[in-house]
Amino acid sequence: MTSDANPAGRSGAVRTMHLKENLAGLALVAAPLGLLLVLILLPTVSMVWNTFQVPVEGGTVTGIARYQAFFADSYSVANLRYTLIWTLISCVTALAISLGISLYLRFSEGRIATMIHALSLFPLFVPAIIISYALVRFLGPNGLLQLLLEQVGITGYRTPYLTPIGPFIGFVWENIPLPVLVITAGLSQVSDHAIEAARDLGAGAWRILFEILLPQVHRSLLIAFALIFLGVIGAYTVPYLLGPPAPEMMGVFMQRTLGNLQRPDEAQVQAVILMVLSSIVGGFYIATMLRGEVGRK
Amino acid sequence: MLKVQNLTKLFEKNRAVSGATFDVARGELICLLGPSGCGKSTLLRMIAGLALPDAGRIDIDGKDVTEAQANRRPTAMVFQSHALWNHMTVAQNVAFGLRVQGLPKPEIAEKVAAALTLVGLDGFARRRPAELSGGQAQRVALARCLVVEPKVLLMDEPFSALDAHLRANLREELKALQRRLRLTTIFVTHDQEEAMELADRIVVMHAGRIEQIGRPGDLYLEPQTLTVARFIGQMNEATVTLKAGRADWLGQPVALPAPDGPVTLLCRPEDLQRDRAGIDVRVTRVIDLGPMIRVTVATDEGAALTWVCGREGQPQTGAPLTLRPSRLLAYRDGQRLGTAAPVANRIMAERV
Repeated sequence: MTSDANPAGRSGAVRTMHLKENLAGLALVAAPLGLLLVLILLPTVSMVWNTFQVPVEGGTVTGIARYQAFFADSYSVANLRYTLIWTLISCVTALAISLGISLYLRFSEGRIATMIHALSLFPLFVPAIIISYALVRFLGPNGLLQLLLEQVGITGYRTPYLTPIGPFIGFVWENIPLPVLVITAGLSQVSDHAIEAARDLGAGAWRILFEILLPQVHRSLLIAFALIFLGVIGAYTVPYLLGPPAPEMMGVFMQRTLGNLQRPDEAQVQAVILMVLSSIVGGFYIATMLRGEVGRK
Repeated sequence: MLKVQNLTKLFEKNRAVSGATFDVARGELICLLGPSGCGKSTLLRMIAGLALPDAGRIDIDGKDVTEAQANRRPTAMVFQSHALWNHMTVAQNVAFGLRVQGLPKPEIAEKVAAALTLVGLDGFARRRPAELSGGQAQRVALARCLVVEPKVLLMDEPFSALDAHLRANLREELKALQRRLRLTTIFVTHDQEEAMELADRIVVMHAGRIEQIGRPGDLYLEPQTLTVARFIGQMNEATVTLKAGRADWLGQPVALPAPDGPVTLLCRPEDLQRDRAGIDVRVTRVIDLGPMIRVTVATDEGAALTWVCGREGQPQTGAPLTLRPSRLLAYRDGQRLGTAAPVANRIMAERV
């Protein structure tokens, strides 16, 4: 009765309630947000700032000399180019294989499909270092593959170990499970009737794939691409163990610059360049996610 | 136009459809009617080519299409869930079938516009399916099928997800359109009112089998099996023993020229009339349906009967009545045996 007679009082009470709810929400996110700020953002900003500090006589000045040095060094540029090219090749290959597996899983059921699903997720539970050593033993010189080939009379095997193909195989193997999960989830959103309607109107398998399925799962594909790209571009273990000594993937290059050559300033520049590349794809990933959220709303 | 012969589909070891045989004439609208799980949608999907039969044959326009893939058949299907492609506009959805056929762009645009006009959706071409109501989406789905000019239009419970009022409107529109374009149509539904209203003929299905094929009125008046009699409309049912051509239906003597044995007698609510030479009952419930009154009554032995009457002379709950069946349908082993006629017994004749 009192509140009905006093709408101003009621709206005040509602405001207080909302404020309390907001404060409770902020309190919940305060801890992770604080950690993010102190342990990630601050060191990152400090490192980025540091790369623009160029030592001169009697102190430092702000400038891009360190970046100029990086891009003037042909070996550094070759490493960057090598990283980008093989990251993209690995991404596209892993994405194509994942899409194939996901399409198979979308339209098949039964024991074989369940088995393939389980197998495709298997690499998720195997650490990169184990995968790398397994591949060395399998693909390497005098490895299992070479022995098997020789058993059937095929000689002259050239191992991909310590060539760009080595880490490529490792990356693809490692990057099947997550895209399969993401794309399978996307494909499950396309109803059977939507596919049947296209078939019913005369569409063949390829037209259904390119005009009905892929446009409806393009967001899942973009997310899967971003996940693979971000994983591969900064990888260390797989290229270190399977890759050639030169050129190097940026992760290996950075570690060697920091650890072996003891040049933390140069390693920081390499890290910032890698971070910028990752941020572009990361931003793209976040934009895709947000578009999906907005679309749903 | 369409000939379905002995069509059978097995799911694991169960017969989803068993020996279905029927014809559809050019320009005819056939309804496949039956309860959920009776095999009507599976039968439709086999005609569409979305499921392949384990036995039997399908001919469209004299051509055997039994083994043909869905994309090689002259059929088009409207699904219950409209199945529009959300990434395309309304016009792109409708144009899809024409693009598959490889028609030139100006012709596609012309046909799409005509199809949208036909279903009353002028000005909706650029909308996305997400921006449409359920009824509008179903019209787009219909336009998407009509535009490819199929020889047979297939509709799988297209209106069942819509509210009753909209459903009734769309039924009217569909019937008018179907007559105007002389579309050969097979319409699947579990709603008998929908089937009665739309169909030229109804195929009643139960447990994978076709029970009866007939015009709506014939199915209502002369159901050939007990299943059809129970499924179409309402019935008052009692199983009695027939002896020397006579039986007693809830106290009402009836005559039926048939061999002795158990027989199930059914009477439509409107075939019960107030008659002093009838069965003694008491009114247990009165439901006002607007144009008519549905009355539930109980006999002295406790059997419940449904009776319908006009607004005039509407009885009160608890009131005693005497009701007499004018016509009873008789079934034995699920098959029609004949029509039983009520006869006056001595007590009732004396009462009169």
